[in-house]
Amino acid sequence: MTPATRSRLVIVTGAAAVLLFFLHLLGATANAEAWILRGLSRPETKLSEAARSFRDAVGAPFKVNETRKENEVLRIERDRLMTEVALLREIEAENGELRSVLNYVKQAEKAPILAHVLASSPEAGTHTILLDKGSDDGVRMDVPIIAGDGIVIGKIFKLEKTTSLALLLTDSRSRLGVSIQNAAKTQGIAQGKRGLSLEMRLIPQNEEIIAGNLVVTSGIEPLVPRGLVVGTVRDVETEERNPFKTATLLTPVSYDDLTLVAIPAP
Amino acid sequence: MRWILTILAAAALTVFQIAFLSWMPAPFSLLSFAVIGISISVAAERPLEGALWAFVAGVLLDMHGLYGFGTRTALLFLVFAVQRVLFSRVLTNASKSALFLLTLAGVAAEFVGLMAIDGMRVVFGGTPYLLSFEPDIFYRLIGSALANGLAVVLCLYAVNAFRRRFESVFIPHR
Repeated sequence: MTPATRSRLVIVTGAAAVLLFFLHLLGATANAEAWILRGLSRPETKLSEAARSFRDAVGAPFKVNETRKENEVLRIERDRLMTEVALLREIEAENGELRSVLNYVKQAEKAPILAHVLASSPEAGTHTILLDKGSDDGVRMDVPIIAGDGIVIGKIFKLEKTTSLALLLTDSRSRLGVSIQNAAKTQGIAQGKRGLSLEMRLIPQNEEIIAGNLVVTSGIEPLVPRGLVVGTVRDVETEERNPFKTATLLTPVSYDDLTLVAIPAP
Repeated sequence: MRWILTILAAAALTVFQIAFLSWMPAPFSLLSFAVIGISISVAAERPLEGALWAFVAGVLLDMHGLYGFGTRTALLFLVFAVQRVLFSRVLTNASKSALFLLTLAGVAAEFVGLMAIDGMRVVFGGTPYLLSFEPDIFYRLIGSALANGLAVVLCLYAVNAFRRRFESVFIPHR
């Protein structure tokens, strides 16, 4: 090919480009362009996917530091969220407790005294709680402590002016007159067992008691109203030669998670 | 026959550049096969191949690009013209260093052309695609020029090595 021919062909190529430009402006090449782009779309997609995979695979070792930093940030964020979740669960539990106490408050004839639990008994084997209300607030000795929706959990055991100590039913020193909601209205004494469980004693052998029977206050004590829920019968223990049988009771609230209790007003 | 191969190579490599290399990190994403192809063609004194590279690669880039149709084609013809002038009037040989300089000039010409088009867009109330007053744009120019220049040199080394190794195998009667 001579240089002159080559130059002419170069000019022809340039002219073809100019012609194509004008044809494009006129819209004459729209179909052809669309056809080319459609034809190219599949290999281009495959190439793009391959490029991204290749880049990610090759770039992964170089991103170790970045990933480590990101991991650290995420770890901090996770810890923060865990704390937040724990706090929210705590608030949810407290909210549930408040709602049930509020139910009791609404039902009570006189507005009861609401007391926060300040501390739990530090001595092993005992089960007491320190409340932030005392004699100045109207709290009296031996009045019951109510948790949730009218569930007796103990009695005031020691009274100060601004605080009081409540003996929970599971404490070994605790005694409470109770009755079972069965046909015979079986009466007995609810007594704590080493701060761990609650038993109903002095149940006559001839009384018919089954697991699941509801146990309520009997009203035998002047300051404890009748019919407050204590728990349910879990199982019954019968001994020969013993004129009474013993029932282990199941309490509907956990005594270890109390934050707010109600004390009936005088 | 050669010009058909040139068209096919230009089309394939431009599609590869658009669909594959553009996803890669620098300096791979800065490579422009069109500029490389034109540079090699000009240095090999094959102007028709250079023009075909500008035409085919330019049309494909225009069909995929942000700028209006014809912009990249025109710029690649500008690159071709600049390199032709440089090769025939300034450079004295077709050595690797000359080819390297030719590629640098080609990249610079394309860059200046793009900036000028962007500038025109701004003058007529448009938004620039690349033009900015940040120094990054110049780092990009330098990076692109070096990447393409080195790619051309590496390409030549590879072709020469291939020839030395396989010439006797494929053309035994020469």
